[in-house]
Amino acid sequence: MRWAWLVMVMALMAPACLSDSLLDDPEPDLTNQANLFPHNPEKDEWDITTVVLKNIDHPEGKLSGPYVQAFNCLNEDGGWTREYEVPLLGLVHAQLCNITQTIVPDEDGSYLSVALPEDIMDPDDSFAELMMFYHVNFIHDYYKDIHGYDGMDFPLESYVNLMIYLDVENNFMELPEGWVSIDNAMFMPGEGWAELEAVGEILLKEYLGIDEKLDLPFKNDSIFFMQGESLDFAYDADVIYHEYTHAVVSGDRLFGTRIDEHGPDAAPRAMNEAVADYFACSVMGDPVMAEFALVNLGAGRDLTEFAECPAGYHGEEHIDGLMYSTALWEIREALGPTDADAIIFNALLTFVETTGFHEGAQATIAEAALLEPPQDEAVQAIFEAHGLLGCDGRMRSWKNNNGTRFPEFLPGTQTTGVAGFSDGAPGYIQHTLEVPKGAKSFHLEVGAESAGALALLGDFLGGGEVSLAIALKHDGAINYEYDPDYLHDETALIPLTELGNGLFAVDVSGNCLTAGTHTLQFVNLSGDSGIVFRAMISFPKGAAPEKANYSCQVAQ
Amino acid sequence: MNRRYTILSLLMAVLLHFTTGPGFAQESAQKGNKRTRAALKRLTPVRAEGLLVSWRGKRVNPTRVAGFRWPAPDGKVGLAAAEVFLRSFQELLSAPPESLELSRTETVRDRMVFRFGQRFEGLEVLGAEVVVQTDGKGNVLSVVDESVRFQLAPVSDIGYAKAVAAAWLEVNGHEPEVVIPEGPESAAFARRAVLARGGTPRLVYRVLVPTIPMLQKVICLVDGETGKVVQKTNEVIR
Repeated sequence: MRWAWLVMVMALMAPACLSDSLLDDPEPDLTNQANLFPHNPEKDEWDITTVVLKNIDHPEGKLSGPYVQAFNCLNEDGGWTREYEVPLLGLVHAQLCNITQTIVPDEDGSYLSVALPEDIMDPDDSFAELMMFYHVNFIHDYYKDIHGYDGMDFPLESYVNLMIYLDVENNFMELPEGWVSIDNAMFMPGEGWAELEAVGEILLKEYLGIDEKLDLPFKNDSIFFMQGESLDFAYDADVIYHEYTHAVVSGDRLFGTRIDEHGPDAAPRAMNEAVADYFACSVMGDPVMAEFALVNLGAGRDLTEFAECPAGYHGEEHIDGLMYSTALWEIREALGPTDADAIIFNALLTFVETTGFHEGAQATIAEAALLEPPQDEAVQAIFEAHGLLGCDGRMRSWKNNNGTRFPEFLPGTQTTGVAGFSDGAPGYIQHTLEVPKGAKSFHLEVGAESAGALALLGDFLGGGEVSLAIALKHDGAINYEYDPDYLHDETALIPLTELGNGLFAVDVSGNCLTAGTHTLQFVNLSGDSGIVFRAMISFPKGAAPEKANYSCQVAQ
Repeated sequence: MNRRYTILSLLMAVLLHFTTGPGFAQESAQKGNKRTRAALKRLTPVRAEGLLVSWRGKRVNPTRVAGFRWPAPDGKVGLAAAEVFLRSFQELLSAPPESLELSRTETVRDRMVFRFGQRFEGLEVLGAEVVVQTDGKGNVLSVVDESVRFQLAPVSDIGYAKAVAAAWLEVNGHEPEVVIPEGPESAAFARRAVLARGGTPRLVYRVLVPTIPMLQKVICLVDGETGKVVQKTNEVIR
């Protein structure tokens, strides 16, 4: 990207220019200069670069402006605090770190005194605050100057080093105590906080008889960067750009579950992650996403690695997004960043909650057709190569997974927004299973667990175990209809027997189990989403189990 | 088949091919109905291969039409152009245009994107939306139709308290030990809406269930007649 290169070259030249000017001017103008990572510590090899901060309108020079307010959050008293006497738990003390803006300019008008802390796990470091302010401005200007997008022309509240202090008198629930940190970054719409606050106040009154305003410190659209347990996400500009792009996409696009004749389709959320990755990488001119924050956690994403549908489909949005984001990166390489960014962004604005791969690709092709000269054929060829046009049939050959391959994620009965799935949510993928000649049964062993966010916090808070079944059909794909009634045409729906410790098994036999191709689809009977991290099928020799569970009606 | 009709069919197919391009001719022969196909033929494709039309399942209306440039009459631009397009191409929409309500406008370079939500007797139809994209010259460039045509039979409404109780039971494993007021004052907890996706359209209560704020913002949809939770969504994006 030409402008990005220009910024980089200017940044690299800055020290040289400074040296020249020193010869002429004993007191160079250092106003708003600051030292930070233009990308992240990994890519920048821990070398900081001098930049000029802009859009500062705070009277004391704190890091607030028309497009971002950067806040630190210090592990000290002064933050939002509440203490309540809770039945069974006793006195519960909950305290948010103290939200404040720690940075003011030096006497020379610069911010050069803000330095990378010696301990990069410093939970209060101002350097994270500086990174956040600079890079949110940078990405805002990208969307505004390059795309003319004015939807983010407001001071987005951006928080770093967030931690919560918790002290529970009778902590029989074994809740985490002390200053709690989480490796996470996220975007939250403002109305979400308003709703939570309103409900919280009613609960306080009814549960504990306390009539008071909660007055949560968060009111508006915000991005949050927790103080991580192993690294600071705010040090990685890719992550800041990624979360910011989620804010641009907003809550009314790419946030639902599609449905089609094969069941649920997780493509919309995957595309949400894909565009967040794409624009983060395109702005940087670098296809590797978050070399510092994600690669060091073993979760890096490289947009030059080829991913296609349906092989790249796992039901996990960050991984599935690679099918789309790698195609977008190829488009960027074919058309150049200016045209590619333009058509991808124009297409994005027409997306709805449930836009899928095929529709997203078509929208992008339509935009490419309006370029001068038209580029729709080249763009279409790329989407076709990635299997994204017509990737509605998420059919894949069965492959045993002994736990070493990426798992399959399943929706829950109440995670899709589809009323028909409330008794059992089919998996995103239909597996084609080749049954050999002479096989009288097959044995399926599964390792699975709940994947909902509450599962992270343990069983007590709702992270229950998963309950599974398999849908089987002996002649082609399992078909789903939704209108006017929910219908599905599997031959058999067979529950898996839970063996404990997240292990399940079932033996399948019956006159339907003939040699040839069968379709197998997991069905999640539990409310939260699930992960199938192990799935092994074997065909035992010998007689079939006495009780058949895969039987077909025999024609008279 | 009568030979005369066979020849006529071939002639029509060739005509369709040259008027709309091979891609569209192929798709239109399989999808939509006579009215939607007629409406699509009134749009001039910008590419030789024809319009880009997305269909879903057995819907007779396409979910997305792009790859055309439709100039709004009388020099209309922006929202006026989008609105006249919706009136002129009602056949492409599932819901009647009068049930649509402008919810958001976005501008980039020479493009304007207008998003319309769908209402039914004053209630929001969840997930139902129509998006119209125009350029700065008053040309409509694409339309996305996620609206829904439906009838909703009157139901025996369970009310706010039971809806909230069902959502809490699902998410937290217990019902709230609070008195949920019936009526609009319960807005902090729940609001009535219509769910028209994935099965028979139904009245639902959209219930916010308090959990762990930084990890979850759980929204439950509870069937307004049966009290069954039909959806649970975490609206926190990571």
